[in-house]
Formats: sequence, C-alpha cells, structure tokens
Amino acid sequence: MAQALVDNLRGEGYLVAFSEPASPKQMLMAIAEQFGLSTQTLEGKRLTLEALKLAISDFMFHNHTVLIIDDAHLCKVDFRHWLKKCRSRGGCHLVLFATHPPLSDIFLTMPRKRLAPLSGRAIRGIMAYEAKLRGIQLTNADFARLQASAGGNPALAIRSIEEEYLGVEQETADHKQFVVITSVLMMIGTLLVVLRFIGLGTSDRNLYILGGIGGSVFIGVSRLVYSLPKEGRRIK
Amino acid sequence: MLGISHLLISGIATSLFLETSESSVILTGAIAGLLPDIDTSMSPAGRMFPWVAGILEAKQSHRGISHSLFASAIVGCICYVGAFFDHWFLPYASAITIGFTFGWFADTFTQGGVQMFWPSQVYCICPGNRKYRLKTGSNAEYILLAMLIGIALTVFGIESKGGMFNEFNRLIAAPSGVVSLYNEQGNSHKIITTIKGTYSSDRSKVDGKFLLLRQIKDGFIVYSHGSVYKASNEPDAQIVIESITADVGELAVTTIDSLYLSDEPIGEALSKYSRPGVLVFVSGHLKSDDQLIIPHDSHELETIKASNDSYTLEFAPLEKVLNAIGEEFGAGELEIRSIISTSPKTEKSDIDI
Repeated sequence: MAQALVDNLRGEGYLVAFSEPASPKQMLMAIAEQFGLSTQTLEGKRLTLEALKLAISDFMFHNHTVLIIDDAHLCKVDFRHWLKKCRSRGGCHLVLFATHPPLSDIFLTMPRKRLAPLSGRAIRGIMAYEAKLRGIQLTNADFARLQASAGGNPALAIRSIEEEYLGVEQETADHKQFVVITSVLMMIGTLLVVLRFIGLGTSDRNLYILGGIGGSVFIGVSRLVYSLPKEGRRIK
Repeated sequence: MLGISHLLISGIATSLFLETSESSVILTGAIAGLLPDIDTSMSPAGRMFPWVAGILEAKQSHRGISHSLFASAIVGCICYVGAFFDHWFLPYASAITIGFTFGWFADTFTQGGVQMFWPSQVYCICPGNRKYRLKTGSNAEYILLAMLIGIALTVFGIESKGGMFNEFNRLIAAPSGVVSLYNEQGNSHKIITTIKGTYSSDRSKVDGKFLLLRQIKDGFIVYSHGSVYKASNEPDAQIVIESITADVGELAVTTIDSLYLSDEPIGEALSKYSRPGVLVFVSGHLKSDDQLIIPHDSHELETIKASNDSYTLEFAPLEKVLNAIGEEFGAGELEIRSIISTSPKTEKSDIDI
C-alpha cells in the first residue's frame, strides 16, 4: 500500500522518499538518495549519521517533500525521534504506516488514520489478481475459503494465494478480525445458577438441584477455560 | 468440522431443546445442521443446492453470512411462517431452526471461527488460543466425535424415557418428581409409581409398583392388587417412603361421577359402574341403619370405616365395597372415580397392579 502511495504521489509530481525499516543509517542513505542528496563529503567519505540527518532535514525544510515510511513501528526509537524533530521543524510531510504502533514519540503527535479492513470484494480482487499472476485457476469455492483466512488484510490475502499455489493447507488465520466469545458463553452459563435461585424461590426441588449441579459444573468449566494459556505472538 | 460432527451436534441439540425422541424430528434437526455450509459448493448442502452455493461463494467468504445469527433469524422466520399455515410442521420448523443454529455455532470452536454477527466482518471464536480450537479431521475432532456419539445415545435414551427432568426425578427418587409427572401426564395416562420403603404396621420392606390414585398432603394414595395404601412420611401412612419414582403407564382417562343414594341398596346402585378393565374407587359418606363389622388389614388404608350409623369410604375399590356393604341400604353422596384404560390391546400394557 505504501508503495502504491509513493507511485501515485510521484506520478503527480511530488518529491517523495520512501523507506522500509532497516538500520537508521541505511534508511537515511536511502532517503537522501531518493531526494537526490549527496551521501558523501567533498573528500569522498560517506556522511555520518548526524550529517545525513542534518542534510535531509534541511532539504525537507526548504523543499516541499513527502517522506513515507512503511512498518514505522519497527523503526528504531532514535530514528522516530528524528522524524518527530523534522516534523516539528516544518516543511516535511510525513506518512507513516504502522501496525499497532506504540502510543509514544512520533505516533503520539501525528494525526492518525485507521485503515479499515478491506471489503470482501477488494480482497477477492487482490486474490484473483495474485492467482492470475501465478497462473493458478481457483474456483469461487476456493476464493471463499481463502478469503476467510485473509480477514480483510491484503497482505494475508496475497499470502493465502501463495500458500494455495505452493499447496500448503492452512486452516488457521492470522488476521486480527477475531472476537473471543468465551465470556459470552460463560454469561449464558450463569443462567444455570439463576435457575437454582428460581428453584429456591418457587420451591421447585428439581430446578434447585439441577441448577445447583449445572452451576457447579459451569464454575468448574469456566475455571478450566480461563486457566488455558493465552495464545503466543509467535508463529508456531 | 466434519459433517458427521455437525449432524450429531444438531441432532442432540434438537432432541434436548424440543424434549423429543421422535426420530423424524431429530433427523430433520440433524440434517439442518449441515445447511450452514451451503456457502461452499464442496459441502453436501452446497452440492444439494448448487445455485444457492454459487451465489454465496461468489460474494461471501466461507463461514460468513450463512454462519450468522442473521441467517438463523431468516431460517426461523421462513420455517415458522410455514408452520403457521401447516401446524403439523411446527416441530419440524423448530427442529430446522435449532439444528441450523447449532450447525454453525459448532464452528465457533474451530480454527477459523464464524461471522456470527454478520454483516460485521469479525469472526467469533472460542477459546481464544487457536491451539485449543478444533482442526477439521484432527485427532481431537475424532475424540470429540466419539464423545458426541456417547452423548447422543444418552440424550436420545433419556428423551425416549420421558425427558431430562423425568430421568432426573427417577435419579433422585423424590416425591416432587412424582407430583410433577402426575401433573403433566395424569390426565391422559396411568402413573405407575415404584416405591421403596417400609410398611408402618410391621416395618416389613416394601419394594414394588403401585398405581397412583391421588396426591394428598405430604404423600400419595396408591393402589396395588386390590389394596389401597397411603404412602408418605407421615405417621398415619401405611407405607413409609424411602424413595419413590414414577413412570407413565398406558393411556387412561379418569372420570369422576357423583352418586346420590336415598336409602336404597348400595350394591344395586354401584353395580352399574362395574365394567371389565375399569378400575373404580368409591369415596363418600353413607348413613345406614344396620351396622356391619368391616374387617381391616392393618397393612392397607382403611377404605371402609364403619361407625354407629354410617359408613365412610375413602378410595374403596368397587369390588371391596360390593363385597363388604353391597347388601346394605344407605343414604348419602358418593364420589365414583373410574380409571378407564384407552390403550389398544396391542400397545404395551401396564405391569400387573
């Protein structure tokens, strides 16, 4: 998506630099090169990190530029602080793409635009395009199955097509469009405890005993469910 | 999730929620459990309705709209509208709605989850850790399948014996369970109780089946082999109950008639109620000039009490009344309770009571 934005802005004549997370020096070198700045001194030595930062920020201050960083949440903190300084100095337009960014430094000061999951139609379009690129024929049933694993995320949509192309069977999904309804089910389970009290109030011995047994089982099961380990963040 | 798992889950849910053991209703619910997968042409439902599957899979992701509360509401509306016009369809409408809902709800426990709140695109799952969610055809699913088969057999067995509450009553063997069954089925069936306890007269053991005649305060009036007993925990009861369970017996209706006698032969007045296959019990108060000594077995309820100038009858079997005071003249009001079996001869008959 970041690349598409870069191409779009460049097409409209903007002076755009784009970088993905790397070491701060590599990122600054890439940005300087895209702005057409020299990365060497008069003696032919490479510019230091500080010199690069100064050169780029000066350039951005005096020119109408757009700096686009993908996966900005993975950039080093000092690089993000430099971005913050550049932005406060003015002249520079920053676009940062980040997934669940920390609520600090540059992310705290920039206006935020949350990207909603793509619509099913858009995801289908991406998947159809990717399938065509790889020369694989997929039926609507295949697309419907794979779409469920993408969950509105274009990167996952592409990945699902790659996995299909490679013949990797994947039933799990890595998107964040999940809602755990364990608590809702537990709430329904509490009705059994409510039944016990209804049985007590109406002198219905059956209801009282059944509600009591059901409630006890429910408490045991809920303890068991809540004691299950949380899912790790790593791919296993 | 495998198709057979869906079948079993929906079948069990249908049986439990509708409290039925009728195979056609359970089968309808079970098959409805396969319907949510109509959103893919690779499923049995999708192959059966390819044009619906074609439309859905072209627009929606798998486990999307067809696995949602919205879809359940649509299916429910269609089925109940159908049931509105044809009432025989009502249990099937309920079965389809329940089976369909549990069909997709079971997929909540799978890796991918379901879009329960469609048109919201979120997938509902349980539990949160995917490691503990089911994978189609995994060992865990086969273990679940084995458990489901066991649960299904148990549930269908329980429902065929009168339902969960009835079985529970049988388990705890409490009088409240007998009362509950008597209230539910007593107007159309004989209620056969199984009583374990002791005779209050000599403390000998009681373990047998009795026909329930009436519920009284803290106990029951029961009948077996020509004798009537009061069974309760009260001191004046003939049978002290340790445990009591009840079963629904053969089809029977109970009629209650009033009979006024004005100093006329008791036997002649009552003889018209004596019919083969009908149990008749007489209660009431009769004045009589002559007094007979009525023998009484201390094991039984004293159904005919003779005082100075009257007889008091309490659930006295007609045979016994005719034999004891049939020749006497009496005046007063009697209540005739007749239990008439309506089961055809081919149906199961009750135990010998």
